Amino acid sequence: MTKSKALSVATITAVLLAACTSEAPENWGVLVDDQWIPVFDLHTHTGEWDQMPPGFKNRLSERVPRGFKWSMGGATDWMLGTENILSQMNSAGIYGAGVFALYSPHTTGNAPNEFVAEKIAGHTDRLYGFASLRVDRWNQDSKQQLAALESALTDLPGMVGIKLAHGHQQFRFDDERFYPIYEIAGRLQKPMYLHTGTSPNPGTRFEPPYADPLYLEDAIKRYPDAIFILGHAGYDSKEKALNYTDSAIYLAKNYPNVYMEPGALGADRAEDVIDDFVTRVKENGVLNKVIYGSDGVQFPGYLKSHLEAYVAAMQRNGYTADEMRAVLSGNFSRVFGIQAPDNRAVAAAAAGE
Amino acid sequence: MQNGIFDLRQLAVPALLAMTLSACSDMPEEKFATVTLNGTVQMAAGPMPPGALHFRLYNLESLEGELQHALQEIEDFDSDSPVFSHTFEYPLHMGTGLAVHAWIDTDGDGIFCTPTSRLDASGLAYTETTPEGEVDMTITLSANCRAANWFYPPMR
Repeated sequence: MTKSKALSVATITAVLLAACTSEAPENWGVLVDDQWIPVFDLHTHTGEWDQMPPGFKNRLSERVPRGFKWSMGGATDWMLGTENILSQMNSAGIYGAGVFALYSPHTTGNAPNEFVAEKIAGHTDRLYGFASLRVDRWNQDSKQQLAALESALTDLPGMVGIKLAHGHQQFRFDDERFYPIYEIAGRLQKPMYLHTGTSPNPGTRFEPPYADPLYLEDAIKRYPDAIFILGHAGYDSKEKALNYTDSAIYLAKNYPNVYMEPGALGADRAEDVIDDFVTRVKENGVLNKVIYGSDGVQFPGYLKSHLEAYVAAMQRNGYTADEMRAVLSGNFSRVFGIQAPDNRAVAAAAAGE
Repeated sequence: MQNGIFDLRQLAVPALLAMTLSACSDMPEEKFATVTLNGTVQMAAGPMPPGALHFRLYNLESLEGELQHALQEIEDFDSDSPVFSHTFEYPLHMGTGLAVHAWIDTDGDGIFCTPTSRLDASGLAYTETTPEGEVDMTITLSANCRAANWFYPPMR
């Protein structure tokens, strides 16, 4: 990097830091009916520019004017860094968040397990790692990949679950060669987050065998000890439609080991479907199966704006405070055994009581 | 805090503009080669059932280092006949080799197998040679409902 570029990157970073750094709030959570409801965000990403393939870099670079594309590397690394994730969480009042490993060289790139462990190190009270594995040479290295996953889940500090993205990683939901992953999840009691629905990211598979969670039903039945969290709850982000949401609801309603996560449904892109979504899950009686997540951090202020949009949608559609509590933190705490601190206890501690 | 942001942004704008002049990208330069694939599809056993054939083309191997991976999608096309010819732009900048995955829509539902309908036969042909000009390939449909990565890389 040239000296002038380094200066510019440093300046941009300083601007972003000054604009976005946020201390821990006085109260964690969101205020509803005079109650502070704790919030966990199941779904955030870390990563680095150098581990992203060209198509995804191009997509990210579309967010900046043509002459500024060179700045995307530094800006992306900063955006996906630990300090920014925590800062966005603080700003939104979110106490804890899942941070996902990725092995999607076809689409969004790699964020290896060890990289995630480094990113959450020192913050495992608030950042919870989800390990993943490569699947693109499964016929040849599945044993090694499964062993590496198991090792990451048992040896790396702070790993609470497994992240899979069949559409990004290009493997069908109904391909039984991959069922040993679910066996590990059940045996080690590490809940799995599985991306369902589609994605606007280039190279992602969007056909039903990669998007419709109904294709997972056989695996869900065969591995009752494994928890399947259906990421994005079947939201077809490519078409901006709830095309596979009813499948997710059906599975969550009928199988005790199935949950849903509404990541990206609080984004601007989904503003036309969010009311339909929160209504469908409420009317179908599966609010005890919805675990809040955002798919952040994406851009400055995303975690907060996504949370505000989702809370507003729940309020518009008649959710009680107890129902909101279940979605925003109760179901997460039940599945992962992680509790948010009580605001009064935090205040008392701060006051030295 | 607000004043501080304003001051920093004032500094950033001219710096960013200056950088624009020397802007460069770490994206690979895109390079394509026009390739015509002449293909034949056959069943591993028995006669070819009726149904539309769906194809997907891939770079057999793509990118380098930690990002190197098998089977990077190029494009899709369809054919009503098991003997076909298809011309496409092969992305040289994305990798090497060529793989062609095919499946036949035996049940006519337009979906490559559903949880309850498992009739659509599939197969893959590949070459490690980066294609040029005209390429001849025969794809044998040998297993139902299998994605390209079921066939490649092969079992050791």
